[in-house]
Amino acid sequence: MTKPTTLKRKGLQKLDLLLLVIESLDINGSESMLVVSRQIGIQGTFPHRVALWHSRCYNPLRRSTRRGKPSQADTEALIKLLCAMVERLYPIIRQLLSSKEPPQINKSRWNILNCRLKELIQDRMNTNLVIVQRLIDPQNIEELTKKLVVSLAFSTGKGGEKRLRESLNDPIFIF
Amino acid sequence: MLKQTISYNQASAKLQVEGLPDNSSGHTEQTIGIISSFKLQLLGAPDLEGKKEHLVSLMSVLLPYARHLISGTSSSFISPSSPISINPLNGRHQLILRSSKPDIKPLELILDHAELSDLIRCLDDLRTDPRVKIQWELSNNIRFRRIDIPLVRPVSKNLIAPLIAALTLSLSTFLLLMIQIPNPEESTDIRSQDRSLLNK
Repeated sequence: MTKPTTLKRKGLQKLDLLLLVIESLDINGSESMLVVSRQIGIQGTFPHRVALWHSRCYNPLRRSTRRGKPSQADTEALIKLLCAMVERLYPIIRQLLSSKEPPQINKSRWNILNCRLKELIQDRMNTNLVIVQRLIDPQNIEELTKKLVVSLAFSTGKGGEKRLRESLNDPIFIF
Repeated sequence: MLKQTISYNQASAKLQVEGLPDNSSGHTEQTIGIISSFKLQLLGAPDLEGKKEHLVSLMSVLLPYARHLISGTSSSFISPSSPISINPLNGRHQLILRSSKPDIKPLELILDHAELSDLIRCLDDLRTDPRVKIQWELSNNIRFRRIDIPLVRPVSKNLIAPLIAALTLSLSTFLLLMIQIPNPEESTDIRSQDRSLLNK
């Protein structure tokens, strides 16, 4: 049995960024998240897009951030949703991380992903914050995307959810 | 009693486990309670075979390593009896397997993130498979403390802000101390002298 999860600021930041990477990988990500939430039985927590957006707004880096902390049920649901989305997108993630792929094609894939993630961060996060400026800095965005995609790759599988939950409680946000 | 074989497949890894049900523990015939051997096939690498101890060593090295990777850090891991170790190597992972037999060179495998992730998925599938009734002696709870995670930003950069703050505070304190405040006793003396002069 898993312990109910409560996340601190750093954990909420990382969880939201990982969901942003999912949205960067899947153009129709927000719609897919709703479909997946129905499939895994958490439609009660996220019945519509607004509910999902509300629970993600606890990220303190967001443009429209909410005070307080999300409920344990919301946090659990977000983690489950993330893992289910990663499972669904695992072939794409694997392709990105594989050294067996043609280098030129893989490079262009990474470029597209970096651009999409940067646009999403600029769109959703408060760009007046120094930490957000550091994230979208051209020198840092590639490293950030790579680290987030690697984190997603190891969040898959039957032990992935537990690993992810533990990593979200790390005392330091590694970027 | 029939030997059971269970395999776990991923794109670049295939793990096959052979064993028998442990009748003394009341296992059914479709389960494995005693692992007799395992075979690991990795794409582009020779097949690896071994016993349960080797599998446990592999898990005890790879699972904490994956836990570090998910947190964005990477460090080397060596199994307690030292036959297996893994190190980060230029964005890839160097897995070294040492044979227990003498005069056999250690086998070195270089895995990329995708291959390592496939292997971890195979090991996770095995660990959580209800058909395999084995208590894996692995440390489950890996929680990092602040000290466990190497700082990504250099210490010098982290110290700039507090140093500037301390300097500003000490400078402003020094400047404030330099301002001469008139002594209230002296000022009252001067006033009384003025009054006495006026009276004269």
